[in-house]
Amino acid sequence: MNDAAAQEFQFGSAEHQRETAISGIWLFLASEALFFGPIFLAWIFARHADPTAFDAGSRQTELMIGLTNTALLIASSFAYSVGLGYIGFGSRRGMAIWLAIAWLLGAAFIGLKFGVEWQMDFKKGLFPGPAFAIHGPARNGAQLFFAFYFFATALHGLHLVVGLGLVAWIIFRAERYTAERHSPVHVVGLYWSFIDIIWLILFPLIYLTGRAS
Amino acid sequence: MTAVIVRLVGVASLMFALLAAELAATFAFPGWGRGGIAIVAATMVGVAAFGFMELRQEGATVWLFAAAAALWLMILLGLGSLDPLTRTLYPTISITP
Repeated sequence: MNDAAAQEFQFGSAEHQRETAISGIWLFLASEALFFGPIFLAWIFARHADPTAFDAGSRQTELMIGLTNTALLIASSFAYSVGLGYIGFGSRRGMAIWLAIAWLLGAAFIGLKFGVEWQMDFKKGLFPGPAFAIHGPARNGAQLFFAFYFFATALHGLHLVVGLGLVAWIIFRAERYTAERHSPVHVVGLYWSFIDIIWLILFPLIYLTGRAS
Repeated sequence: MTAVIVRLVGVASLMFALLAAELAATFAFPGWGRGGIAIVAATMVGVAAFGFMELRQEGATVWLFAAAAALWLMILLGLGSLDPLTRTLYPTISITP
């Protein structure tokens, strides 16, 4: 493929097009960082209001599921990066296989989080409201924690579902990509790893700080 | 391709080792406290950014956007948490007639 065919008309070169795409997704991810920032700030405010009660809520979460989900996302980012490496060497089949593995690991996260963990939380009566299961002096702080927990994990899950759609889109269009021209694979990979990063922050906020002495 | 896979296996192994360190900071070494957990978590974010997202290989524009994101977050979280972390609550005096 010559250089003229490898780029859209508005770009001076294929490398210019690639740099523009990568810069664009990084700018988007910077805005996403600010989107999640207030949620982390809310955690600081809510925990500071009543640390003991907030931590009591945190200790009701399912640590093993949270830990498994963290491992799933790390493995998923790894799989996607390997797929990106394969297309860099021109192997569409290698890329599609590893992206499919990344997709399955992401889907397993969603299944575990919303199909298992949330169901357990609902059954234990941990959704904030009149039927909230924790009583006594820790009730209000624990409800604040679970308000944060449900909102933050729902928002993160929504991003992951969008990511699953994008990865599937890349897999179905695998035939279009070459070693020289695969910016969409790179762009979606950056978004996929960003979702991983958000979880790497949420995991200790939800599961660990309340259990640390 | 082998070199790429070896590098990525190294990155993933480091991430899992840091995850284990995060758990150790929580349960095995209580002396590390929440500060220890925060340091390990921040390191994991850095490893993901440089290892999986390959920030090191990108140009000046990408670095500018990544640095801007970090700066915006520091301002948001730093100034935002200044009030709750520094406010002192004084008991009010009730005057009974």
